[in-house]
Amino acid sequence: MGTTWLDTEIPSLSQYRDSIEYNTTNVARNLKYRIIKQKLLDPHPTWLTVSLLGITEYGFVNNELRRQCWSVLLNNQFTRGKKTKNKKIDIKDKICLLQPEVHNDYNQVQLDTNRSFGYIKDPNVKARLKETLQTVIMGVLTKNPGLSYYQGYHDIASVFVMVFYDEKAINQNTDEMISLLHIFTLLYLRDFMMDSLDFAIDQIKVIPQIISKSDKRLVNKLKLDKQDPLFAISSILTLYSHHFKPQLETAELEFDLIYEIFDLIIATQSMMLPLVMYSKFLLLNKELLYKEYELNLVNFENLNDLVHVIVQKIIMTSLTMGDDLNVCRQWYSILNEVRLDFMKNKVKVPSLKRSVNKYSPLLTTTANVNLNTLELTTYKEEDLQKLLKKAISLNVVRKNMNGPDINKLYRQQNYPFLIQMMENKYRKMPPLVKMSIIIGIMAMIIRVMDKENRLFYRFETVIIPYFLSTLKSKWL
Amino acid sequence: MLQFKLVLLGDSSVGKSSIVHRFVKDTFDELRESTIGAAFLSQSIKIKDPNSEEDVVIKFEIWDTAGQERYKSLAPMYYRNANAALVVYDVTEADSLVKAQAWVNELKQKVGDENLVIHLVGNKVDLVEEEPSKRVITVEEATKYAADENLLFKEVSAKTGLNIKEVFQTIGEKLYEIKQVELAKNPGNGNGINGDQVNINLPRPSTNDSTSCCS
Repeated sequence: MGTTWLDTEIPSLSQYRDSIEYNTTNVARNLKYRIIKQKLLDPHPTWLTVSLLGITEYGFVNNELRRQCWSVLLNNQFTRGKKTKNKKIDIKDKICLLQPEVHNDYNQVQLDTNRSFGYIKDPNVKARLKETLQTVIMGVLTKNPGLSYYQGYHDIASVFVMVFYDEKAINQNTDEMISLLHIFTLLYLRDFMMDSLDFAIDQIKVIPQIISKSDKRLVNKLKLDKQDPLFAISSILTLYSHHFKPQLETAELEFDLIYEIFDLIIATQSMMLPLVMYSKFLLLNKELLYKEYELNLVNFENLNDLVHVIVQKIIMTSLTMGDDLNVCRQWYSILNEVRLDFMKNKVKVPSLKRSVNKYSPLLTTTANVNLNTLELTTYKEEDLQKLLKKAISLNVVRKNMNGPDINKLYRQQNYPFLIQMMENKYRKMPPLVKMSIIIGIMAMIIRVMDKENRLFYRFETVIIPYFLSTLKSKWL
Repeated sequence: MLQFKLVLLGDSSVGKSSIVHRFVKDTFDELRESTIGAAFLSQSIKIKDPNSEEDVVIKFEIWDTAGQERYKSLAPMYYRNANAALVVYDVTEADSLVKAQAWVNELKQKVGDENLVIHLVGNKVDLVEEEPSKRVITVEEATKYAADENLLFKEVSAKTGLNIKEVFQTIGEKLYEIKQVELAKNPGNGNGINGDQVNINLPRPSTNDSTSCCS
């Protein structure tokens, strides 16, 4: 396996522990830990502050804080319906959750959860984690019988279980886990919870579109746009948790990539970022991909197989390279790059309207708009149930289609007036016209807001810069 | 050296990945994690040319697939151009043979290559050796089905390794035999009844094995 990116010298673990880099990092993490802890003391911590803390380096630092921050964010992104508001699952119901007749997917859930946490050494801990995992998944599925379980969902659920794992209190946390995973599933994972993989495949097809925004050659050479990039399906369906298994936290503050990936997704309310990360991974390794492509060209009869094999090889190498300390170093730098791009509003996103269904989280609940508008995007449970129902009906239509028909299906989708106006009509106007319209709108808003000084401050410091940057990046 | 593409199909949790790992790495995990999507592995074996008695190296490019029903729609991507399919069921699960039979039917309909070697395997015989009452699919039933459908068949155990190597050995020999017949029939171009099809599915000799992927 001739890999090239690790030619730089890597210090041993003990050398690293003595280094300035390690100690600086530790100081920074400790500081961040204290800041978050302080913020959480606030009885109503502001959504925006918590969100920003999740996006920046180290995410929510450790699981003690992560539990609380995820709860703040997810509960702010979601308003529970009146009927279910104070409904808690009691112990008797929990036992019922583990009966086969509860949900069609019960058997599959049992098969997958039983095979989970293979990497946990302690048999007692392992048994408890498995049982909790099963209870949590069945809890979410019974709350929403319309959701279909898929292999890989258990990997995502296992991240939640690990974040809430507390040696003493794991059983008391089950309700909270079910509640948060339920919100996460409804807001972020609807495309995957259909009874087929079609919407998930639509999502991974966005990857070549993202890549072609910065490197058309890579797409053309590997013909990424001419095939379903199935090599990415396990990463995207599991939000990387199939590759990066969530580990038990040790006493020391340790890095754990998978938790920080989830922090970023939840803090930005964006399902686009996993796709962006994958695109960046392929771009970062393109020379290696070209090399492997040439070497293996003769071994494979069809291009799909060849590309799948070389991407799998490069991913596997990226997961295992270096010693413990440096495992996934490449993924860390990708994560940091995505964080920065997001903060600077530089995430390159293709127009998705012809590629995914209009009810997709990518276009609705997790379209990564929150930091841009600085508005809390919260969704009512009833509305989400409606979206889910509509998506399920559309999936029935989509399931029996291929190639050109799918494009047609998505092209014919109607969008609410406002989105269309923003996306299509104004884009075609000459910049000067756009500019004058925007200035006009801004003047009107200023007049209204001037009366409220408090809002005006926010307007000046936040909204104007946002408008200008949007203007620069999108319209001009 | 000859290369052949082999795909594993079968219901969830029948032991597809365990069979591959026993064959490729000679290891076994009691609770191997679920496969998501598909995984690629490769392994080479030696067979003897029946005429010259010389060793021939055969390399399998193995596609291990996810078993849940919803992943079924991805399977055509993996059995396309396959030379062999290993269809797996679990001798302790009645439903798993039904699922295996569905796979056999799909392969026969969709691959449309009469030279595709289909090998049926009943896994987890170690469980019925420990406790005979666990068996729900008899050898006779599966043997009869395999004979009717013209499939190769063996019961195996990924856990103990029983018959795993033999299965791949048999497939390798069968593929080699088919290839010799094809070469004899169509030394230059494909003129036989299935000429064109046969040629498409001929394995290619591998030229740069030292650098080939993932071995």
